[in-house]
Amino acid sequence: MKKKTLSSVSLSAILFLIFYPLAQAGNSFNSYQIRPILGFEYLTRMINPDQGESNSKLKAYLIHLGAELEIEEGFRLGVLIGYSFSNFDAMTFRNLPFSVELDVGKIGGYLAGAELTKKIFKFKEIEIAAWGQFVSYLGKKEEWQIPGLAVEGSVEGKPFWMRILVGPQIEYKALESLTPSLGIYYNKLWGKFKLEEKVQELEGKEEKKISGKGILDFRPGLFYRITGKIGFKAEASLIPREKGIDPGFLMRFIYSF
Amino acid sequence: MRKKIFALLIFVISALLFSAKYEKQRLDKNINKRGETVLSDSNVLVRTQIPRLKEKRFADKRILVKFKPFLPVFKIEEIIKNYEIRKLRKIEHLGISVLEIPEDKTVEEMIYLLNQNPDVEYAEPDYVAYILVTPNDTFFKYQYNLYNSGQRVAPPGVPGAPSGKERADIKATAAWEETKGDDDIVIAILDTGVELTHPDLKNKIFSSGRDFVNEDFDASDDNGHGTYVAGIAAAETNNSEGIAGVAWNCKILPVKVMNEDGEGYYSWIVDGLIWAVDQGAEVINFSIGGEASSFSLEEAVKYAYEKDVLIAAAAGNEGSSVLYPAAYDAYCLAVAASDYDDSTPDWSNYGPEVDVSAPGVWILSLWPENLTPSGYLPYVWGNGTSASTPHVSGFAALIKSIKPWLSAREIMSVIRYSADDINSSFHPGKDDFAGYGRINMEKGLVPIKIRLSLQN
Repeated sequence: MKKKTLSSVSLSAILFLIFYPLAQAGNSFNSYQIRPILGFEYLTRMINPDQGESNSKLKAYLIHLGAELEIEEGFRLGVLIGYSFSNFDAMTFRNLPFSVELDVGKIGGYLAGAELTKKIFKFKEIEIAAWGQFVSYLGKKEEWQIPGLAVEGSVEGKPFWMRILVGPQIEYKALESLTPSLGIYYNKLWGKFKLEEKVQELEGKEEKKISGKGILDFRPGLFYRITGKIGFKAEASLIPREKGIDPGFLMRFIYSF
Repeated sequence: MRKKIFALLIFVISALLFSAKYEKQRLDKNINKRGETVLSDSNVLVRTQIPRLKEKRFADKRILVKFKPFLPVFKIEEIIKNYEIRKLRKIEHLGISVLEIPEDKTVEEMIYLLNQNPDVEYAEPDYVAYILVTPNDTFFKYQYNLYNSGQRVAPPGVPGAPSGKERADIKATAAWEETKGDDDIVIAILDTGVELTHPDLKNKIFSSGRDFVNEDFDASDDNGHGTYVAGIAAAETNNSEGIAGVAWNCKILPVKVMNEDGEGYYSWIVDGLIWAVDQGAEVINFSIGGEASSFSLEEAVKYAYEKDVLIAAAAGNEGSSVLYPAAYDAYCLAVAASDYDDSTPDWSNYGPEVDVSAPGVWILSLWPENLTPSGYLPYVWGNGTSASTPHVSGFAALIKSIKPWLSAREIMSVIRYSADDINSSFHPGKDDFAGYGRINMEKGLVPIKIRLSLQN
């Protein structure tokens, strides 16, 4: 039930982000410019499961393919699909018959998302746009043995997380093939990790709510036009939180027809 | 270092309970009365609880790297230079380098990058370990049953005291990192009573209990066995005195169902059991037993089981079949004995009903002050499944403290399945002598690390 709700919400969000601007665009369909994207993102995020005492760190590698549509000047819309390896190590489940701590490394899962860019302001060579992104990761179900028990036992886990980034993006467009940028975004990451334990007749289930620490994401970046049609974008991500900063980075190749 | 004198007094209370080998040795107080000064070894444990610092899992700027074997030194130097890392030192025997990473890199990034390098066997963080909880009770160092470092189980003055085998214990110190118990959890000791005023127990008594032998509400101990058993389960711990109990914070409910000779009618036991359940005890300790099966006794333990009360019962010490109520397999955890080197003593009863074993040889615990001869401290060493059983009761109370939603049946399973198969070389798996094995509180309480390498 919850899985269906999540999928529906994700799909609705993506469809909304695609079709609403299209509907708004009206007759300007012919002016679309499509840009395929190949990207890689690495993110780290201190997460606070169930707002408990202990924290663990989410580390994720996101490989994504996408397409960006320029509907009108300064109004771009993108969809993303891909694969992610997400690492939830140190996440601890204490509401099972046998408490367990994950140390299983990366868990693969599918990725889907959408992006929206809307230019809102231009002053000389400085351009300010509103930028938003929604990404959803649905981890594959994995099973692991519980070591060291007198009998066979295992846990089965399935994680997912979602992220929303919204905020202004400032670009400096004075340089010919190089565009430095700085994004300051509201970054919310949330999700769940469900674990089921079975040790002989003992059974237990626990669902941990994941909530990323920190809400502001500072993203200095650079867009470099390699050729007339191929561009490369690199972006660092710095999310300050209590007692530290969660770093990350993004790289993208963008092809313009 | 001052040498002080210890003397030994061995009691043999063969008529007690199982008419078996129940030996006690007292601490001599000829030199001094209280624990902290009586021992000649002034190195008493004085460390207090170490706060948990789980936020810091590894060093911020230091990592451990092992390069591939036979990699030339110049190649290693080149890698170190390329990654802008600084070599701090080398752990020669293992060929592991301790490296400092650049300021602008995180440990995670460096580990990731280095692990991609084909010349690196592995790179990992320099993880942080923590000192385990060690109580400051004076005689804790003789409680091999709780933490066995291979120490002598008694001071040098006590003749015949063996040395233990490292890690042949119930892993209490590691388990106490997770919980020291909840003072709402009550362990009923159905026995000869409990000395309510013992200095190492008086603050742990839930109520003065009930005496079904003399039919009153004062379950004081006139034999000593009940006090000894209660001390193992939940003596006051970290009070700079005496011994540590398994369940630091849990309470003791004394229920006297055995007379001063260590004998009790089943009717007393049945009454005591029902009363303890109705008083709200979550765990019941039976370091007593009888050879005869009885419908009444079975119904009473079934009553407790159905009320979600866990019963730990001693298997017995005759080297024969398991006694009752321990033999009521569906309702009780039957506890056999293990010793300081994880062997099973030949006097420990056996049979298919045995669920687990716990240390039951040279176990130091409390003795009533009024039964302690002048010149001795109120502590004794004892042997028997009577001593093994309260280890399991204490363990059950700790589980109930942090997982109150688990039923008695589930807690029994957690205790069984977390045991260490101590006789696996000749009886692999569950057997009639140690059951699933010697209890391991760490596995039953502390989160178990699930590692990728063990994936199906």
